[in-house]
Amino acid sequence: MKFFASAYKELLILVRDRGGLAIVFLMPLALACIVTMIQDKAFQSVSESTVSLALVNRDAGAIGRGIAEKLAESGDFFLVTTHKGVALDEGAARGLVTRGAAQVCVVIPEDASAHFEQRLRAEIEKAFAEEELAEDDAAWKGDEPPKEKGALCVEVCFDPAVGSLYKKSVFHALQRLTQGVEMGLTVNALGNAFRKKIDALAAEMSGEAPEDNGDLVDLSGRAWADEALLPMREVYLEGGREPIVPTPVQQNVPAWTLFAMFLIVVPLSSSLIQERQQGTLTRLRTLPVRPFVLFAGKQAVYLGVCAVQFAMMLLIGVAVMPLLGMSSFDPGSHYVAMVSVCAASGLAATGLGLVISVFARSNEQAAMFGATIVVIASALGGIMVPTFLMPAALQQVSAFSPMNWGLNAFLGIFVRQYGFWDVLPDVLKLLAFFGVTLFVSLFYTARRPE
Amino acid sequence: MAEISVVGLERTYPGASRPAIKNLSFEVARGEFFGLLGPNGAGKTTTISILCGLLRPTAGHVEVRGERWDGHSRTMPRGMGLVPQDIALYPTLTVRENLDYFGRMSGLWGGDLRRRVDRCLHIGALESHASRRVVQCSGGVKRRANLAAGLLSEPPILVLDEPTVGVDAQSRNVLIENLKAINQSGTTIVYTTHYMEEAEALCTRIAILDAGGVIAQGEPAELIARQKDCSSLVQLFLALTGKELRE
Repeated sequence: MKFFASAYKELLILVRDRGGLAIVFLMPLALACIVTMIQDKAFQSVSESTVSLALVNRDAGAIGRGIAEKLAESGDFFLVTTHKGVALDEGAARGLVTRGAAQVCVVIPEDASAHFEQRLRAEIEKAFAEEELAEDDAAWKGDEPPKEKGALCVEVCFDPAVGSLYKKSVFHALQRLTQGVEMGLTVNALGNAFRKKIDALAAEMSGEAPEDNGDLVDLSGRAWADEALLPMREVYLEGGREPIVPTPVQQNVPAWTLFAMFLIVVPLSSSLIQERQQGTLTRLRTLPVRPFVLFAGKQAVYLGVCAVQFAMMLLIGVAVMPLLGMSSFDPGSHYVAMVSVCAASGLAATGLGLVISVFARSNEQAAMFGATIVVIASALGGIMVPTFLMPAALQQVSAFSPMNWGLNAFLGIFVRQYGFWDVLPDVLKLLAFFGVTLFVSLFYTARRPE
Repeated sequence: MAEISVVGLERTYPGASRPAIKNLSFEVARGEFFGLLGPNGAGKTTTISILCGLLRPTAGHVEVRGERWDGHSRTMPRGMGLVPQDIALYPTLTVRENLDYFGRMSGLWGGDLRRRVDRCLHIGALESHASRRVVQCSGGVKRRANLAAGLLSEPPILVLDEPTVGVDAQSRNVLIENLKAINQSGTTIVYTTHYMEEAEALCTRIAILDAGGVIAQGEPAELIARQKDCSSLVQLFLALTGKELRE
């Protein structure tokens, strides 16, 4: 009986705490829906997501044309070939990738088709000659196929903020697509070569000149698994001093540092609610102490906590991760930008904590709501899954997430080697968020019925 | 000139069907020990909250040392020290750390702060508990520390909301003696309590509130004498407010 009485009492308390109920039921629902939507899209194959690809085709021949057509037909990529109404050149394309406006840039070099055809012809001649050698045992006197692999190749350049797994899958998709074009041309050329050979043999045997009947067979649509005659190579964006080679450590350390910084909303909001419940806030108001002073004192301390978190996370990236077999975190040298983003993110986090504390009615509400809102904001902000992999609607929402601004700025500094002026727009957005949250907190505190 | 004038005060809480206080008027003279008595829900805490500037009146106004506080005032009444009913202290800080903090927030620094904190520790007989965290202190020590925190700024008016709730006889005695001494030093005290014997012993004047209005005010002895068949404040209180339960 005591068990039932206890359960009934608990049920009554739970049902009457409407705010708590909303948090218990609605927040997990929101969390489940948002994170599932985000991850569902991310777990789809490359062909089902839309990657912005900046294409610079400097080749006028079949290779350039073929790759461009295949890219457009595939539907895997959102193809960008112009910028501000002008055809993309290599600099503009790389600029798009540097700014994160495109995730990948593909440059098909000038004379790629001529180079490919030269190599293909040489390969075919060599193949026929080797066949004849086997028959005639005579030395082959033709041109050797060019050996300088990589001297002319399709260059692929990724946004350094793109994760390595995703990058690999995009790279392989591009490779398959390019090799398909190459194979089609190779098979076609082989067919022609065979036909000519057969015609030549026939003429030799009958004494008649061969008649040009066009291509013997057209197999350009077939994909062949073979070594690329025009290889694909990943190149890196040029940073301030050296090419930026992104690593998971370089991408994850700033992302989770930001997450940790925003988690301070939980203790901050709890401490304010405790003060309200203890009556110390009431006492302070009668002294009188203005709410702004109280808030500022709290924010200063929690801003310090954020700074320590930031320093600790960087230290772990630099000193501990290499010991665990990972690459070392490179903090770079843009200290002013780093401190600005850290401070602005910390302020935004404290602002969020304040807003939660003035609206929450109990510690439990603040803790649960605070923790859930941080997880949702981090998911929307691109900490769990890059924003470009999210559904379009969520990408729109993400653009208004302070975590997204913070992450963009941190990734800018640590993987794109941005300086202060580059991250200033995101810093200003974070500061504006802080200003709005502080204003709302002060306004509501002033008008809150006691 | 009255230290506190309450004129036609009214306050209705959002969503409430009737005002918590209405047409409330009384005056408190300088140096007076004024008792605000009433059953639960009479409007004592609402009145105190308005006096201290924590709430705005819906109608009427309060004048504290010549400064007016109404629904449109921009600045809160000054010169009030509040000792709330709750233990309004930080439980994880020591008694001294709490007093230091509230002293600083009152604008005290350096030697002044040290002297005031030491004095308040002495008044509350808290010297031996100064280094203990509030959470580790007994109910009586917490109450005394709560009072000490209200005295730090040496306010000319001290407002106490049931300061002796839940303490043993010894602690209550110390608190009462301290309050008498504070009042004798010239501090005006506004005091609410449910302990009628306390009010009778301490207050020079009282106002009895019921249903949000003043039903009687004056010197306790005079009010008792005026009421038929009453020989104590408890009897007077029950005679005026009735014996039926209110809440």
